[in-house]
Amino acid sequence: MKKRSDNEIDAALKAQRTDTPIREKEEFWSDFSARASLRTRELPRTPPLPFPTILRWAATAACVIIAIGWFGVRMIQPGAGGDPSRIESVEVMATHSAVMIIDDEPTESVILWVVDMEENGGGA
Amino acid sequence: MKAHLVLPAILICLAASQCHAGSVLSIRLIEATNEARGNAKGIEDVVGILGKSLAFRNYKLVASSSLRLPAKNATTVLGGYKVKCSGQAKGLAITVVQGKRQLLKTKVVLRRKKPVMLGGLPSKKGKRILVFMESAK
Repeated sequence: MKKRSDNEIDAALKAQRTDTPIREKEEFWSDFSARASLRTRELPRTPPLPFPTILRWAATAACVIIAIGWFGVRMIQPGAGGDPSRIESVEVMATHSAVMIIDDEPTESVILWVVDMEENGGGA
Repeated sequence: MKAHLVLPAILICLAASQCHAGSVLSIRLIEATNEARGNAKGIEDVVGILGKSLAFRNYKLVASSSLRLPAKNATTVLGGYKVKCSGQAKGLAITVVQGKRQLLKTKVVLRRKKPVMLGGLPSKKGKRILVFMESAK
């Protein structure tokens, strides 16, 4: 491609240029204001929720009541099932003479007592 | 975010966390002797039960420990005894070992705040008792 000189480029650009009339400042701004008053900027609207407000608040209140009731019951309950603690099975490997299981009814607790368990040595 | 949705979401998360919350097993080693009345500090909740059922005059807390339930072969050492626990409160397997010697094995059902006590363990001054109690986390 033949390289063109700066002068040739200038001349070509001037030939392509169309003369646009320079407008007066006041004319430009009045035109601008007129156009601006015609167009309104509307923000996109979010579609309304399918449930009315009162139903939404009613559902929230129901959740709160259920949660309060559930937590309240858990805090009040003394323990799972209200049954006493108990010994299910026992195996004493140390030498001993007897095993006693004592149930304390008021507190629903239990004591497993190994009688005469040997201190050292002796296995069962 | 809508307020109607935030509050129920928070409450549901709290409820879910409670469902998965475990409990704590406290284990206390108590020494029972016939010495003059001593200090029942740390065992106020069980000293009455022991006093009613056993013939000792004095109960003293020697050591205490705690572990989470459910336990998976959890071992804790209390005053020369190794206590191994395995399972949940409703079916807790307990093994008591002294040195290399297994003393006893038991399976218990623990209800919250209702202790299980394993006693008769030999001691120089009297007897020793292990108290197991489940409580909320």
